[in-house]
Amino acid sequence: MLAVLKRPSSIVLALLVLLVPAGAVALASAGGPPEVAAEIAAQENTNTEANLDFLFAIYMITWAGFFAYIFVVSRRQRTMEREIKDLRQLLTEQMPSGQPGTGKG
Amino acid sequence: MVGAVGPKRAVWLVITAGLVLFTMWMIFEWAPTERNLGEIQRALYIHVPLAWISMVAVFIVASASVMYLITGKRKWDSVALATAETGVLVGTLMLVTGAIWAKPIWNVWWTWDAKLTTTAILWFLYVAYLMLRAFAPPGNQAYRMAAVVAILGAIDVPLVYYAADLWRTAHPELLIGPAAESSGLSSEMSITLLVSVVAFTSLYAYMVVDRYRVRQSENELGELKRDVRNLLYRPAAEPATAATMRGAVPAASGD
Amino acid sequence: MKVRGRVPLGPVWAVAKKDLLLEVRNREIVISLLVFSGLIFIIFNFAIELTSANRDTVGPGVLWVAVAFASVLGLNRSFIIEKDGNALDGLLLTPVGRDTILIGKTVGNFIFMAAALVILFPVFTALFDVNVLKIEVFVIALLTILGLATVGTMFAALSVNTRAREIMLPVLFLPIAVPILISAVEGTARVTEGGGWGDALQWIEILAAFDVIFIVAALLTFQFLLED
Repeated sequence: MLAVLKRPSSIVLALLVLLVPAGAVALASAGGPPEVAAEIAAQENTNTEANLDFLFAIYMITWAGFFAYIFVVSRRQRTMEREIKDLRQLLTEQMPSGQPGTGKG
Repeated sequence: MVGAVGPKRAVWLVITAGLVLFTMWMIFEWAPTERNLGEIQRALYIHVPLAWISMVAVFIVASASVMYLITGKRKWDSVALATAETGVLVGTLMLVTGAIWAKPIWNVWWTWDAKLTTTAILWFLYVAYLMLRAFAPPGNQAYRMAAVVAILGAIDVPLVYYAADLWRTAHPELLIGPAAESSGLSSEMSITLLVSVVAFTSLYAYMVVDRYRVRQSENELGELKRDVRNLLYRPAAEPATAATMRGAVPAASGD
Repeated sequence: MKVRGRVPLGPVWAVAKKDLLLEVRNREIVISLLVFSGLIFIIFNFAIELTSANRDTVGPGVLWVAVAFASVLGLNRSFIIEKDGNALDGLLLTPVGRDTILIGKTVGNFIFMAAALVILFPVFTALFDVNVLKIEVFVIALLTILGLATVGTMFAALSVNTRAREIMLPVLFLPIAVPILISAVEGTARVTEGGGWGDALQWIEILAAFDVIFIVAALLTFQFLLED
């Protein structure tokens, strides 16, 4: 019934993929509420939009790091669950009928 | 029971994702641009939460390790491992984001001030912790050793900071102004930062729980493998020679 | 977590004496400490130009880096000889606690380092023309090697059972030892630059604090470090 949520990583992944462009768009659109930005920029002699590429890199790297980790962990979880299932099956198959000697030994 | 995300965690995940999205909106739309630093100051809203999480992680790893040594329950070791591994990830991201932020502001990627020095040393310490866990022979002894290292590491933090701080003041001419960081935050900025800390902490907690569950699966898998080994090897010696060899059988099933 | 109320000194000394006797017979550890530190001196001599202007400030760094790296070798050795030939198993079979064994090993390692420094200090003074033969530096040196021996013995004990044990020890030990190394270098530099007790005092305080904290931590955690 929770079929959609069976893979939490895919949901997080999807959401985060959305975030990166969202951040980029926000940045590209002059960052911050326009009126505030204009006001502050007017008072300042520094270029507030300098170093946008650094800011972009910071957010990109962070999200990429989180992502990669979540992805790796969830993949490990899935392979292990499969292995656990297989081993369980093996054990239940073997126990009663497979090897008659098991029970005694 | 195995596998699927429980409803509670699904709700948690959705809330976290929503919160993170909202935080991103606050960071890039709602919070004003800082006067002196410009847009790059928005790095604060991700750098500070990462730093906060790293600190919390050190504390949790050490506490869980103490609990493990006291109780001997494996779940505490799993908590320590999950927190440490995710903590190293967050710590790495903190160092990297910090360096990228420092370059345009301080004009260097790195400076040996007390905070940075302490963080770098801590990072190495927790990487060593994970290496120890990977290299130690399997079993409870490895968990105990890891716990001791985690506790010693946490004890070391204030000493490293104090020594590094004193060392810096001993060379004042080399100080590169982290003072740039200390300019006051407006109330919108503070609120954004607070929300960001909450959002990232929630995301981090989710990751820790994820990792913790993987750890439990690892443990379960280890036990199953042992069962299977016992099952497969024990009967192997049984047939034919069983009558004569019965006494010598269990040797095959190592640990 | 059991904390033993009292550690018997007799067995501690017996373990230390065993190490010392072994060392007197084959002189493995102290000789390696000396040769290795001497080589680090030589290499540093090429790596950084020591002039009359900077030698009193930079020299102590060379000295303590050499001691720190050499101590890694010595500490590793002190447990590898126990592991080879399963001497450690024999030691664990004796009717004393693990903490007793490790305190004994710490005492032994401390004495080895002290013995090496007795020769290293005059050699360093002669090679680099930085006078470290001063009472303030001796106090700093004693506190430093006490800290290095305490922390180092703990980590040597736990790395000896791991794969890649010769990597695990420095990787664990050096980050933890950073406060001692900073303090040793800076404290010694204050003295070689011509200062007295007052100038080195804050560094000596950090060293003392480190030693006290980690000796207590060691006494509490030694029992967990050796395998069952």
